[in-house]
Amino acid sequence: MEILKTNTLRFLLMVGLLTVTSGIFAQKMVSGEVQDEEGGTLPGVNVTIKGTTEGTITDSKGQYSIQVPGNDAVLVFSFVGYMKEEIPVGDRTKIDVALFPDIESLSEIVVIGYGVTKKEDATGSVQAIDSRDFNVGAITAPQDLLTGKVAGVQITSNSGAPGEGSTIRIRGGSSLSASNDPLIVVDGVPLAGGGISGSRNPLNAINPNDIETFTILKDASATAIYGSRASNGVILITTKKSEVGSELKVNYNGKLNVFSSNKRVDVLGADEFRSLIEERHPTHVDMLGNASTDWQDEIYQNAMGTEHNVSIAGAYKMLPFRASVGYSNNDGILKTDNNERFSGSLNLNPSFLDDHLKININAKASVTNNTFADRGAIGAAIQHDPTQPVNWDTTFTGIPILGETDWGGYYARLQSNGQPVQLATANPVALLEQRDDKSTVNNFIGNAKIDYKFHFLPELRANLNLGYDYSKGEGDVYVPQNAAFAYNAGHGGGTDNTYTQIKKNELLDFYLNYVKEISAIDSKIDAMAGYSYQYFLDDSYGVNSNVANDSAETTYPDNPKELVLLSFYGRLNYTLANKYLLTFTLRNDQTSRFSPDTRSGMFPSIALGWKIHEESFLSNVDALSQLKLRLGWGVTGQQDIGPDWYVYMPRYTYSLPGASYLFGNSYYQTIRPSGYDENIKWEETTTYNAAIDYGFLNDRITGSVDVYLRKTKDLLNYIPVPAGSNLTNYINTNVGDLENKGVEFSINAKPISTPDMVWDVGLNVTYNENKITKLTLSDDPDYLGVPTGGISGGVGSNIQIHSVGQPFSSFFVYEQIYDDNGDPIPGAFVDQNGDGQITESDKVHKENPAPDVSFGINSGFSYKNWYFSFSGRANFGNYVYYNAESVNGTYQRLYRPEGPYLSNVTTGVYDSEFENAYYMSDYYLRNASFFRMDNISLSYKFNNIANQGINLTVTGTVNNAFVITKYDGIDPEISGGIDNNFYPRPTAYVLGVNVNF
Amino acid sequence: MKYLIKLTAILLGFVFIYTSCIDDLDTEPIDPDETTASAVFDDPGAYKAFLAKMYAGLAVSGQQGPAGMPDISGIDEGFSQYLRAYWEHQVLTTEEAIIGWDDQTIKDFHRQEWGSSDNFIAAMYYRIYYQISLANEFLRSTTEDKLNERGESDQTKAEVAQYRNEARFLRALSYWHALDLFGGGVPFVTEDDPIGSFMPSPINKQNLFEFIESELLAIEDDITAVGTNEYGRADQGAVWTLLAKLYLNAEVYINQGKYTECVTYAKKVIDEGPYTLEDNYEHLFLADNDHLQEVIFSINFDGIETRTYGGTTFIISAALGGDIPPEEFGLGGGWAGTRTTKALVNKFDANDGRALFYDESYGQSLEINDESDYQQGYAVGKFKNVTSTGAPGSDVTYPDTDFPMFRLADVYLMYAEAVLRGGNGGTVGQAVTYINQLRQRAYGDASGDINSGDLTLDFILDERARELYWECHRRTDLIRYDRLTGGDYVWPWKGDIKEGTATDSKYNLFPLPAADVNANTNLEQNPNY
Amino acid sequence: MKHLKYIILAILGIGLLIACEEDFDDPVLQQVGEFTLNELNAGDFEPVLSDDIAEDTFATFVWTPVEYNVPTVNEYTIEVDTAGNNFENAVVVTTVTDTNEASVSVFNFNLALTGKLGFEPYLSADVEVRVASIAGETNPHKAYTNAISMNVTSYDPPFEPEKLIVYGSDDTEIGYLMPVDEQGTYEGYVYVEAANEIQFGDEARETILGNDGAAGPDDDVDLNDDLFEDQGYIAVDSGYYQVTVNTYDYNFDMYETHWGVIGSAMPDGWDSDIDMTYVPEDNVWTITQETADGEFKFRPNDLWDPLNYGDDGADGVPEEYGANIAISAGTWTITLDLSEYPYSYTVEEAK
Ligand SMILES: [Ca+2]
Ligand SMILES: [Ca+2]
Repeated sequence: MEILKTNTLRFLLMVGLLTVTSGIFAQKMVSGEVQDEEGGTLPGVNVTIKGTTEGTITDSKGQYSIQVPGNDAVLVFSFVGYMKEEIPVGDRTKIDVALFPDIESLSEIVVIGYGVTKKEDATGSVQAIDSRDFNVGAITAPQDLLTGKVAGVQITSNSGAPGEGSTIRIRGGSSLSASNDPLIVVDGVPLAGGGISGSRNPLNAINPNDIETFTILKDASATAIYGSRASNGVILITTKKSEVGSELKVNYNGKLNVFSSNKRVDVLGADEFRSLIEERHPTHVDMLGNASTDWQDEIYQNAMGTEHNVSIAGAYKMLPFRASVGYSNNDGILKTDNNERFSGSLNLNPSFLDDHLKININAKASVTNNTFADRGAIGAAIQHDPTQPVNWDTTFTGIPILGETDWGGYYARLQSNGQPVQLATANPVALLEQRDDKSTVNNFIGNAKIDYKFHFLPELRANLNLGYDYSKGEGDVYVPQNAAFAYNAGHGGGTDNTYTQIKKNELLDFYLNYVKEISAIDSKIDAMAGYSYQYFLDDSYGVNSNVANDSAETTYPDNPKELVLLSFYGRLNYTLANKYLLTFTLRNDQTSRFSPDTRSGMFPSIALGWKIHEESFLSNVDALSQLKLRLGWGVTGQQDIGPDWYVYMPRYTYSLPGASYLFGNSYYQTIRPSGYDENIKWEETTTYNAAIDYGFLNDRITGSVDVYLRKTKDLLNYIPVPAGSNLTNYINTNVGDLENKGVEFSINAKPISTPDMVWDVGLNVTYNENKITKLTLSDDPDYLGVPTGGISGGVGSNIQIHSVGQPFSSFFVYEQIYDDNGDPIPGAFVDQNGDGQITESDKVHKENPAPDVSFGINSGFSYKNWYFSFSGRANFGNYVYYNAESVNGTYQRLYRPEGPYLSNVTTGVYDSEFENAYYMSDYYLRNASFFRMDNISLSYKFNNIANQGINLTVTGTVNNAFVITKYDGIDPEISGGIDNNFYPRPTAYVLGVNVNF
Repeated sequence: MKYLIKLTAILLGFVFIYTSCIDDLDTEPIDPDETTASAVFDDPGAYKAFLAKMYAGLAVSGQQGPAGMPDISGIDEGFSQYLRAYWEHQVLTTEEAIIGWDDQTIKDFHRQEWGSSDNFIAAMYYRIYYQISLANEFLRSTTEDKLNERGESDQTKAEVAQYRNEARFLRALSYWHALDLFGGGVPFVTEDDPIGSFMPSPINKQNLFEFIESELLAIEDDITAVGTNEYGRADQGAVWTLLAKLYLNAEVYINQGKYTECVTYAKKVIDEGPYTLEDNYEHLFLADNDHLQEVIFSINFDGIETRTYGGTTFIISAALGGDIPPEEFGLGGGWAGTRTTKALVNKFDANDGRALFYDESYGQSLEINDESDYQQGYAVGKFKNVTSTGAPGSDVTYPDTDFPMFRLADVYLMYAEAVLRGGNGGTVGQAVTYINQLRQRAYGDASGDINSGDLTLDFILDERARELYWECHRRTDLIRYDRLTGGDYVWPWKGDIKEGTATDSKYNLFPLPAADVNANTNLEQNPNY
Repeated sequence: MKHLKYIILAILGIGLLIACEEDFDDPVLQQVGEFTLNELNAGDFEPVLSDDIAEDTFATFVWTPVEYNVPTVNEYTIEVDTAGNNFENAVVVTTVTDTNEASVSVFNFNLALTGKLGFEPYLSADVEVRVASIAGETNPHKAYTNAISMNVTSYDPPFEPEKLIVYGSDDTEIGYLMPVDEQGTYEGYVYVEAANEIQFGDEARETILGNDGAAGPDDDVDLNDDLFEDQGYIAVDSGYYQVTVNTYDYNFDMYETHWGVIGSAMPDGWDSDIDMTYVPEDNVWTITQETADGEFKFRPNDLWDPLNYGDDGADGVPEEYGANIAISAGTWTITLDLSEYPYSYTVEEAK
């Protein structure tokens, strides 16, 4: 911190000096002011003389002055995110310019793997979203910035907890058992993937406020350069940087968040519950209490949060820098839940040797402190007997002091011997308040990129990127011995766990890039070849114990492991006549996860582009400003099959405590030979993509249409092997094929664009369909498939299945039969095969959790200093299995003999009138199509306050403003499609202040 | 030219980096709980640790108790435990037990409605093949050549030779279970098969029977003498008992009566073994039931060292619930799932001390109108986690109670039945004497004694129910009498009807799991599935 | 600004789409086609029911199987009720699946009539029968056939439980009797610890026999006291009783017994017996006695009549008025167990 402070001072001094030293020699001086579309000043705009490298930058008031060679000169005004303006100087000496935002953000340059390209020259399906288009409001995680913005990208937050991670799917996911997460590359460092103990979100290392752009690579011609890890798409994140000559800019961004909890599962009230027990279990009315507790009200709260971010950006001579610090602290709407984060980032990108040597150093670090509420409380609050009090109170219960002293004062269902009933629903409030579950996660992502343009061959560039991604999660969980829910009569109760997980990811990446324009044949060649080495270490260890640290209840899990990925890659871009584009990439990946015989995978891709609008026959079609056809084909790979990093190797595993065996009078530790597949190899996905990019009316309307087909073969699949052929029954092996096909459409329009008033609308639509085409070696039609989608209720029951000819994770259910009133007839299902029995063979595939069609819509409207925006999303045809209802919506739940104890039921029981549970009934399969208004925001910008060059923006935002759906559960948007004890997503009201100077 | 040199240098640099890193791809496990197959036997103790795993395969579900590192997948780990699955197949399918849970297809066992996609059946099947694969791997890894290669001492070699006999016994035991539960169309693998991608061929009933028989006969004389092995390990007594069981059911398996052979091996156990009946029947099923002289082979559990959600944890916990005080079972609480039907209860006289039921006075009813209601049907308090002195076991969640897989009483009854079915070498008089010993223990006196006129096959079937209920014999017994399926003998909720109804004879065998029929195209599904 | 309304309209449109989007078609169960129960003509059923033909088939009902618009699983129940009652008190006589016929035994049909429908036995009455198809559980969908009517005469079925429990005044079980013939005779010994009131009944307590005016124990073993359903208690003093009940004839007898041994092997010869001792914990009579080579028998109350036990065939099971039991000289513990039928005795060398 001390270092940071002195550095900051030094930078400030340097910046001061820099401002004083400006060139003054000129043949002719031109000056003026650059404004943005709202009439505000635009500092930092590059003003260059066309055809030269000379230029300047507008100051904090948007003013510039530049010396030009003469009246023939043309000034080029450019600024990231705005459309470039070229203005001939003529005889003027004062030129004021207004820049308009580029509708296609970052129209000029998009980041692709190992390099950049011009948007218009991109041959792959690449979409960039920059900071101006990000979602606003209570954004605690980077991916929240993107939700709903990009066709083909589904981002579903995993719950309503603060700082929670998300499930990201690009074009539906191409793997079954292997990971379907996209590869995330931050400033050129591919992240390890997967989370870390104690963390809510693997992307926590990155403060959303530091992010400059997201670039989504969707098709294989764009992703194949990342080869083995790119089958599920790639998200490139670049963080904000400064540039040479930048003036010192300070930005403060603060937010105050209020989260409201208003979602509840409908359960019986105490009186209703009491009378139902009296009616149905008259012999157990003695188990009822006298209280009237709404357990859901007891566990939820309206929560608060704050966020502060400060960044300083500028340049000291040739050393542009940007530094930021951030702090956020949000409570969850589930009581005791909290997420606090400190983050800092530093970016230095100096250039040396006449810009021949560019160095870019990025460091991002964060410390996250989590307090985890026990989410078991959510289900417990639905089920807990509402006639019991939160705390013992003899006026309610008449139960002696025993309970008060022994169980922390919290009500617990007790046996006659005074001990808690083990299987009874835990007191939800006790679960929250008696459990102390804290973690600290340290994240660091750092990299140094050295880019050298050869002096002897300026067309050739060498780029070395050294990266280091480190995270460490530490936490402990403590539950006191007097917690009834953690009681153990045998060995003393409670929980005393500590854990640590360390993940390291070291990267060495080196490539050479050769760019040459060959005017003789009107061609441009851009060739690149490189090498990448990545080492991953994952080490976790800890102690799990009870409070007494009883040896019988203590284990010491530890699981260190290593993985190495090694790659060669190359890319050739060939452009002919600035109209015809060809991209060819090839990557060879090797993974330590597979045996030497199979570890090498080759991933080629090829893409063609045709800029049709450059053709002469379209030159007089004025309305058409852009028309490009893209065709791509490529192969990508997958090796990320989860936690087992040594799958091909014959190994033995020693037994841990509790799994020894008695011979004579001694217990022997055992060894187990593990199952393995020495032939396991890469899963391969082939993608075909055809697309048209279009622009009309001078690009006031732009967009693209993509059609794709993705076929995955040799699926890395965790499937049953022939019994007796291996050392276990399921192994990871390459069996099966699946395909995804879809259409993506996007349109961005600017219906109004005047200096005072600008209106933008963006809409994207995605259609995706996926199907498993092969699952096993044989094609036995009797084989149903691999069950998946575990539900709560019957232990081990699955509601979904991967079957050939069906989308993956299709629901696999009995068809419920209804009576004339539309009410389900308990236990009556369609006997599909008509054999007079309802058995497994009567289950049918029905729907799946993925939407058929999804929409994203966003719009911004500015009028003078006002800015109003909203963004929302809709999903159609996504189905949810309402597990909370299937478990709790039966009369059978009321009295539980395994305690015994009483359990509350959902009001849905009145609809179904189900006595017993029918988990496999499609009655619980619900259409969960929805429209969600993700955010609505209104801001006002105060410009140049007190003439000090201070700009202040005040913003009010509502996140998750409303949801339109027919689904009657807590939330229709459930990743995986099984709605059980879902942590409700709160509505957030955010007041934000943004100050620039 | 200068460029070329520089470029070459750069490329060479590339090659250097590449080659220096390529070895990094040969990562090996760094987890201290894991080692490679090539290194594991550097520790001579590994042989016994492997042996322990083969036995533990019957008791626990993986390498961490009670759960966490499962041996087999595709099913809830607790469900995948060998004894739990075996109990469900052998007991739940009969009048001895009914279960109230909604776990997947668990109710189909008692209803006799299961299909080839049943996850519980798959668990049993894959558990059986897990044991077989372990034994095969042990036999592969401990050949004479391999031991010499590792330079093992003569003493180690002698011990390993014993372990190999036990591995073959355990393999024969699991193959017997395969034959009994799934019939002869099951895949057949031995230590001569490799590990990896191949599809084992099915064997047939005759050949599988003969394989089991020949294996047991081959080790009969070499395995540790009867009654002399360490507790928990198989010896001659276990081999003989398994032979007797195989022969008793030979008519079912291969349509050929082998009752004389059954008598021969039952007699060996009785006459040559040190086994005697435990004085108190109840003590056979309690937390301190280790080292009992009646038990020939047991699966051992411990509240601290050998923990599982299957095994006796399941048998005891699932039987406990409702108004029965958990302390009576030595547990902190029960799972309220399994009860028995009146078809079993009514087999007992009032004075038969083996009727260890919890009746109306504990809120249970004899009649079962709702399968899901735990309090309908008498609860069974046979297996408990209390010691013979009434103290609780070492843990209140995971019982210490061992499971007596083979015990002398069963051998007595097999002797009697084989004699009655025409086996030579034994007498009815001796059979009556053995059975009266069981009945005297049950009644506390001679009041339950029978005479030779009473000794009928029907009597033996009922007596087996009374003596051996919930010990995983019932399904096999009923099939031997042709009463498991069909309508000759029904019990509550057989065929999913309260009063019980006739069921299809296909249910005498379980289907091969659809998953394996699909993965292994050599297999043919059992008839009518 | 006017463009904003298009956006609002677009959002509303999406909302509407969601609201209107059809779920998959939910099958609604409807019976289609005929579901009829075949008429029964005279001769197709037993018009007069009686105990003699209790095991015979009353009738075989045949119907056309029900058809539903969706295939599902159903059970059939045969229901009977008084004619004209619209099956308001319908009683299910049997349940079947997967078939379109069911036979009902005379016993079961009669049970439905005299039991739940409360028909007066031996009077003819009109009844109606129909078949219900039941799909689903707990609150199932039902479809019915037409009703067919019959005129039948019911009978009073004999009460024949597996064992007959002797209940004390607080309904506690104090003993039980086992059938000794096929004619409804039950016999057993009951130890009444203290003066009590007793009844007889089945285990389920569905039928309880008593008689609050009954004389109780007497000096013979003749069945000379009547029993009635649900009628009071019989008062007895403490004692060890032989109890005989006939459930066909609804009568009983109690005879108090104190057992002894008598015979040539005993010190007093055949002249007088030597009393045995009752051991309540074991429910047995026992004596340890020095004997000579000879014979003996068991007899109660120092009387040969109305009851004594010898042993035909020397199988350890005593018979009334059976053969003398041989015994050799020695000291023996003789135990007589009358707690369970068949009775038993043992002679073991005294320790
Ligand atoms: Ca069916
Ligand atoms: Ca034990």
